[in-house]
Amino acid sequence: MSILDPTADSPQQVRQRLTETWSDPYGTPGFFSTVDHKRVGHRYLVTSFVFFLLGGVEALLMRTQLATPDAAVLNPDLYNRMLTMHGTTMFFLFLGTIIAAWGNYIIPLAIGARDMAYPRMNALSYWVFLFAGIFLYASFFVGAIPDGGWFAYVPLTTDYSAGLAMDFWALGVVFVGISSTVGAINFIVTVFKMRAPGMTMSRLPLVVWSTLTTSFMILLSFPAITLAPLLMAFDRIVGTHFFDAALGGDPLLWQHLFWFWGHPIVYVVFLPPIGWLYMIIPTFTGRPIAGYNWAVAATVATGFISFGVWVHHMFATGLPDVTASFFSVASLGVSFPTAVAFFVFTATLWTARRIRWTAAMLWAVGALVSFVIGGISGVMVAIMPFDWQAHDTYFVVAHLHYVLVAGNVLPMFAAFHYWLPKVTGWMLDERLGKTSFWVTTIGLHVLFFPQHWLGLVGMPRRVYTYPAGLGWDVANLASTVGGYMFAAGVLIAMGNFFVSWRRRAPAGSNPWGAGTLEWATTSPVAPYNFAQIPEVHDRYPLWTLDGDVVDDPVGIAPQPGGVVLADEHHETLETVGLDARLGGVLAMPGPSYWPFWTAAATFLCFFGFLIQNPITLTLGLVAVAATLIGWHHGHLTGGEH
Amino acid sequence: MSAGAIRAHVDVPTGTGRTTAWWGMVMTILTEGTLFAMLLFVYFYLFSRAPEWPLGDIEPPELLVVSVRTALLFASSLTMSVTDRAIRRGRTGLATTFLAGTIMLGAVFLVGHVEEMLRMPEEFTWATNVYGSLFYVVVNFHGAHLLIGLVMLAFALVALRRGRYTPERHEGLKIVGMYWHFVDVVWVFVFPTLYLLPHVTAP
Ligand code: HEM
Ligand SMILES: [Cu+2]
Repeated sequence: MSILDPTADSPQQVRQRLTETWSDPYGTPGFFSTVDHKRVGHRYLVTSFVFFLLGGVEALLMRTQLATPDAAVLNPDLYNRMLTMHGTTMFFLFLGTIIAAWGNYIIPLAIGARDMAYPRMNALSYWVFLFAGIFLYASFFVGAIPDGGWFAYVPLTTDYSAGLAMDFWALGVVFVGISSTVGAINFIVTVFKMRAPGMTMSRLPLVVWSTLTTSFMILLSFPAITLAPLLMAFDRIVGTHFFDAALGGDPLLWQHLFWFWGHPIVYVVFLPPIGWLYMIIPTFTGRPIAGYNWAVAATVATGFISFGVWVHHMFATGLPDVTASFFSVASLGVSFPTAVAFFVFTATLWTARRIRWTAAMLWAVGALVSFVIGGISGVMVAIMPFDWQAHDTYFVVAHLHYVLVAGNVLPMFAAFHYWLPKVTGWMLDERLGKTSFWVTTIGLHVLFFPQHWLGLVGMPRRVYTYPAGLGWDVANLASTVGGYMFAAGVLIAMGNFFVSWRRRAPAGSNPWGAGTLEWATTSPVAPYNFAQIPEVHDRYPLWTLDGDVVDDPVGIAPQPGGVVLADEHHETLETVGLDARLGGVLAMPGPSYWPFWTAAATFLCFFGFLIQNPITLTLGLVAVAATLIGWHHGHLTGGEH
Repeated sequence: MSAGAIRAHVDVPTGTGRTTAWWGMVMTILTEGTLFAMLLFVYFYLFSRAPEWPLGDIEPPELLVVSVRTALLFASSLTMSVTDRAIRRGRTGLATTFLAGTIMLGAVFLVGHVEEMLRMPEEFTWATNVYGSLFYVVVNFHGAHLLIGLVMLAFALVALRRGRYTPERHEGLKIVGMYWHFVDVVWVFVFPTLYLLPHVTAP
C-alpha cells in the first residue's frame, strides 16, 4: 500500500502509474479477463439492447398478425411461441438487465469509487447473463421455442407442452436469476462500503437509493423465480408432482410463487429508471431535486409495499373475498409513494428558473407524462370489480405496456442521451435525439392507447386472431401502425448513435453542468475512475465547488481532503458506517479468467439438466466446483491481492 | 481534513467497520434464507391442502438415526464457535482441532444423509406423490448446502494450517463460520417440518 503525496509526484506521473495499474491486458486476454465495472457496464448495455431488439421483432411479428382480422402471418402455434419469447425476453433479458447496465456503469462513479465491491463477481454476473440468454435463444435453433406463455401457468406448461420447449424456459429463467442475485449483492455491498468519504446516506444520489432498494427487492423476491421454475423443471424432467393435482400438487401454487416474484419485479424494473430521472431532471432544471427526503421515502416505501400485493394478479382465481379485498387495498396503497415521486418531479420542474429542453430532458419528461396513464389504469385494475371485467383483456396489455415502456424504455433512452457522452467521450446529435423522441413517444401512444378501448369492448389478450365484424378492426390496425412507428423511433435513435460516433463531437468532462460525482472525471472515464478520491460535503458536490471539478481531469490539484492512492495494486477507499467515515484502503482483485470459466461451467450444468444427461450434468457440477476452487485458490496461497 | 490527516488514517490497514466480505455473506444468507423460507412455504401450502399427511400409504419417517444426526449437526455449530473464539485469542492449534472437529461432525451428518437417500426409495420416491416430492427436494436442498459449507470449511482449514489467520485477521474463517451456522439454523426448521410433523399428523 502506498499513498502518494500529491506534492511530491507530478500529476502526469500519478496518472501514468494509475493507468498502468488499472488497465486491462491488451486484446483478447483483456476481453475475457476484464473485471472493470465500466466494461462490464458496456457489455450489459449492448447485450440487453440486443435482446430489446429481438423482443421488439417478436412483438412486431405478433402485431402484424393482429393488424387485420383473420390474418395468417403467424399460425397459432408460432404466435404462442412469439408471445412467450417476447414476454420472456423483455422481462428477463432486457428490463432487468438494462438496470444492471446503468447500475454497473454509473453507481461506482456516482459514489466516487474505483470499482464495484466484488469486481470478479461483477464480471461473473455479466457472463452468466450472457450464457443464460444464449441458452434461452438456443431453443430457436433446435426447434423448441418455448410455448407456454412467459407467465408459464401450469398445467399448460407441464401437461400440455411437449418436448424441450418449456424446459428451455424453466432452466433459462433460473439461469438468469443467478446473474441478478449476484449483481444485487454486489450493488448493496458497493453502496454500503465504497462511498467516498463524507457521502452520508442523506447525500446519496437518488439513483443510488433506487438501485439499493431494488437490490434488496431482488434478494427477497428472486428466490421465488428460482424456486418455481426449478420445481417445474423437476415436475417435467424428474417426475415430481408439485403442480400435479392428481397426486397432491396444486396448480395455484405456481401462481402464488410466480406472482410473489412477478409483482415486485415490476417495481424492480421501474425504480432504477425513476432514479435515472431523479438525476437527469435536476441537471436540466439547474436546481437540486425538490424534496429529497420525500423521494427517498417514496423509493423505500415502494419497495416495502410491493411485496404485499402479488395476489392482485389472482383476483380471478376464486380466492376468499377477505383475502382479495386486503390485497386490493394494499395495491391501491402502492400508488401513494409513486404519487409522492411524481409530486417531487412536478415541484422540481415547477420551481425551476430555467428548463433546458435537451433531448435527454425530453425523453425524461416524456417518460413521466406517459407513465401517468399507466399509473391510472393500474389503480383501475387494482379495484376488484373492475379487474373482473378487464382481466385477461387488452386493457391489461395496454396497462402493462404503459407501465413497462414509459417506466423503463423511455427512461432508458433518457439515460442513453444523458450518460452516453460520459461513456464514449462524444456527444449525441441533439436534433436526431429529439426526432427519435417524438417518433417513439407518439408511436407508443398510438400503439397502446387504443388497446384500452379494445379491452373494454372485450378483446381478450393472448389470442392470435379475431373475426371481422366485432368492431375491433380499426383500433387493431391503428395499434399496429403505432407499433411500426415506435420501432422507427428506436431505429432513429440507433442511427443517431452511429452518426454521432462518426462525428465524435468531444463531450468534455461535464457537458451538461451536472452536479454529481460521475461528471467529476474525464469522458470517457479513465481506467481508474478518479485519480483523487473526493471528499463529499453535500448532494451536488460539483455545483458547490462552482463548476471546479473535484478530480480535475488533467492534474491532481491538491483538493482539501482528497485522497490519492496509487500502487502496483488496484486500490480504493473503504468507508465505514452510514456517514461514510474513512475506513481504510481496500485492495481489489485484478483481471481474471475465472468468472468466464465459472459461467461456462454453469452453462454446462444447465445443458446437462436440459438434455437429461446425468454425465454432462455431473461434469458441469464438477467443472463449477473446479472453477470456484481455482478462483479462490489465491486466497489460500496468498498469491493474490 | 487535510491530506496529511487522511494519510495517517489510511495507514491503518483495517477499518473499524464490517468488511465487504462480511456484508457479502450476510446478503447471501438473506437471499438463501428466503429461498428456504419459500421452500417451506411450499411444503406447508401443499400440506394444508392435503387430505392426509403423509399422503398415500407412506409411513412417517424413522426418527432415531436422524435425531442423532441432528445432535451432531448442532454440536458442529458449537465446535465452530469454539474455533472462532480460539483464533481470536491467537490459539491456532486449538482452532485447528476444533475446525477439524466441525468438519468431522458435518461429514458424519452428510454420510447419514447419503445413506438415507439410498435407503428411502424402497419405501417411496419423489415420484410417488407430492409428499415424496417434497421430502426429497427439501432434504436434498439442505444436503447440497451442507456440502457447500463443508467445502468452504475445508478451505478454511487449509488456510488456517498455512497460518493465514491471525487474531487480527481471520475474516475468512468468521465468514465461513457464519455460513455454517446458517446451514444449521435451516435444519432447525427443516427437521421438525420434515421428520416430526408427519408423526403428529399421521392417522
Ligand atoms: C414495439 C413495441 C411492442 C409491441 C408491438 C408489443 C406487442 C405485444 C403483444 C402483441 C403482446 C401480446 C399480448 C397478448 O396477446 O396478451 C405483448 C405482450 C407483452 N409485452 Fe409487448 N410489445 C411491445 C413492446 C414491449 C416492451 C418494450 C416490453 C417491455 C419492456 C414489452 C413487454 C411485454 C410483456 C411482458 C408481454 C406479455 C404480456 C402478457 O402477459 O400478455 N412489450 N406485447
Ligand atoms: Cu402486480
